[in-house]
Amino acid sequence: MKEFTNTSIPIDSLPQIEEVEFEMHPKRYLKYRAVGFIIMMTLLSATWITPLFSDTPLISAISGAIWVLLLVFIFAFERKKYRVMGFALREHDLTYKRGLFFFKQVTLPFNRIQHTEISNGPIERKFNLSSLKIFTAGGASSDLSIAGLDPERAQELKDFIAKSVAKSE
Amino acid sequence: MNDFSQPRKQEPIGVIVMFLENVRKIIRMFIAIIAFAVLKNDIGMYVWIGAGFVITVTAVITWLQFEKFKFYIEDGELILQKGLFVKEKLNIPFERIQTVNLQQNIVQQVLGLTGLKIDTAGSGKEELNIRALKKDDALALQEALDSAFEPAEDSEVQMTKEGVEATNQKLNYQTLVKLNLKQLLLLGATENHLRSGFIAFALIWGYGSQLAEYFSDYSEAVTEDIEANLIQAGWIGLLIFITLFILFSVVTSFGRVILKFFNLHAQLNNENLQVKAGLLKRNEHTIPLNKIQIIQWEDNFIRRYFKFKSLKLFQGRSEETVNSKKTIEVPACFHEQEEKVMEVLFPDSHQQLVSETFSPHIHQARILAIVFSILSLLAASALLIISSGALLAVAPVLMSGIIFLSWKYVKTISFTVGNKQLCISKGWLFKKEIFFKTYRCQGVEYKQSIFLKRRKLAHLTIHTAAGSRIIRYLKEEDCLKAYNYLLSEIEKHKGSWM
Repeated sequence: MKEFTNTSIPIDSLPQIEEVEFEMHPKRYLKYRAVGFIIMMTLLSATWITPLFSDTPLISAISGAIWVLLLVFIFAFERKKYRVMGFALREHDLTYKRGLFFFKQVTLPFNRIQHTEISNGPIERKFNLSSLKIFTAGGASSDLSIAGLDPERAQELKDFIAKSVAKSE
Repeated sequence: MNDFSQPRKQEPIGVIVMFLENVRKIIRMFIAIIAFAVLKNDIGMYVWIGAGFVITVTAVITWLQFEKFKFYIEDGELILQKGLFVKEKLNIPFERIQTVNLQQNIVQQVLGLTGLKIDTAGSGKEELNIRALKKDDALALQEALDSAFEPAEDSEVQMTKEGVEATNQKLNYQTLVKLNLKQLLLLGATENHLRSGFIAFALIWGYGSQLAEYFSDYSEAVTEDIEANLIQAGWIGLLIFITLFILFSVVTSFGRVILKFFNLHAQLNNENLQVKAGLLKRNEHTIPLNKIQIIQWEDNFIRRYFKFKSLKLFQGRSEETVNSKKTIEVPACFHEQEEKVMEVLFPDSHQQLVSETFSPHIHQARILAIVFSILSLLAASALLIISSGALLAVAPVLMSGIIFLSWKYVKTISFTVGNKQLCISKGWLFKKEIFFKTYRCQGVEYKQSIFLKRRKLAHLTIHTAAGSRIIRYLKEEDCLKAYNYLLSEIEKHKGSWM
């Protein structure tokens, strides 16, 4: 270990992720999530809770009330969560952040991205939304999926990433 | 004979290898039924006829598999043809090949055959396995495939004097580690016995639960008896159990080490690392140095006394192989070997001009202590259910032990970020040092739960092609500093990183 020096990381001169402006998902993404939850919970109660307690009106009334309360709580939670979510493009990387209780923020440099993919499911299509998936090497741990984007925006992002990936090679 | 341009079959005698492999698969599938039949002692006519039928069919299928399996090299691709009814053709471009490994299980050793296994970075679903080759064919094929690892500009360099020297050096393997019997036994003795015990236990449990279904009738009656006795036996039972477990663990450690590392020979040249080892199944791994993503040095408090460490190498991996044991281990590296490896794998570490070391907040020790205290108190109370007074006596000792260990452990964690390499070091009794080159990172992640936010702490995850590594409970500003710095270093880097 000759010539070893131990200079501190020159933080002031580096671009900082904290200063980046994030772009939010389109507002209808919230509605899409809400519909998704309603469908899921209706299916759940239709297949499990209702058949089990249909002959005891008191229990079904209580579980109905809980059902509604839970839904209201989820909506409130989703609204708060929505405000935290966002993505940002910089010259060399893409950042995505999400999570209210468990906040996560990932940055993937373009020169480490393998390929990207746009997909949309039936409900997503109804709300005119698309998902962008970004794949890196070495398993799913660092793959990134951004659901609920405007289809044109998703395509723009995909094209921008493709161009930047090609440039960095 | 070493011509691979024409489609060719494996060595005919290899049918035996394939047949035995198929039989093993079938036995595995029906292990529970077989064990049941054997134990119940009623192997009737039909069972024998059935078994005979299955074996005949297997033999025919194996022979067809052998006849249909062909391999050859064409246009920089290895091509495997197989398939009984539907013809399958696998094209494996050389550049997708991560490593080419030679293997010899006991049958192959007896028949004088060598198996060749190919790891790719792509999907690991397909079986890229050529089971029966002559030794020199296998070596020649490995050589042919290995040539893909050499970068294109090599051909020009070779003309110069340095180039010639480089090629000579490339061929000459230098021995890194060669284990003799004494060292092997020392290795076995200094294993983490507790861990091997638990792993073996889990493995047996896995097989056991499959069998258990068939024995539930018998076992119920037996366990009722045993249970009553156990409660009476109390402490003695517990002591016997613990002694047996320790004995079992030590035996497993020795067994594992001897099976895996028998006659280990690790060699190094300036392009590849080669590791040959194994008693029943001899493996020969050749890894190009530039495909090694992460290395990990491990030692424990006993091995520290003998001054040696184990080296683990991680390569890029595909989704399917994420949980498989695709690590290669070189045990028993002494200080000079450690230096040698570091010099070869991290030649520019003296150019590490920028570097800063971060340590986690001591809050991590608190969390660890709380979690482990709860877990171990639950376990202790389950074991000592017979005398709850004992729990009161054990609890304080247990708790202070856990608090001390947690504190010691967290004190040892450090994370060094530099422009050339990263190092994560942790562990007091069992020490781990993880090294990888800064440019090997392919993404960074900042994680913060609301509890951490209140304390202004955060976790940092670093993604690489060989999986993710996480550094927990860093100060918020340290975490962001490393985050921003790593990104700038990755983005500056030109050229391939995998």
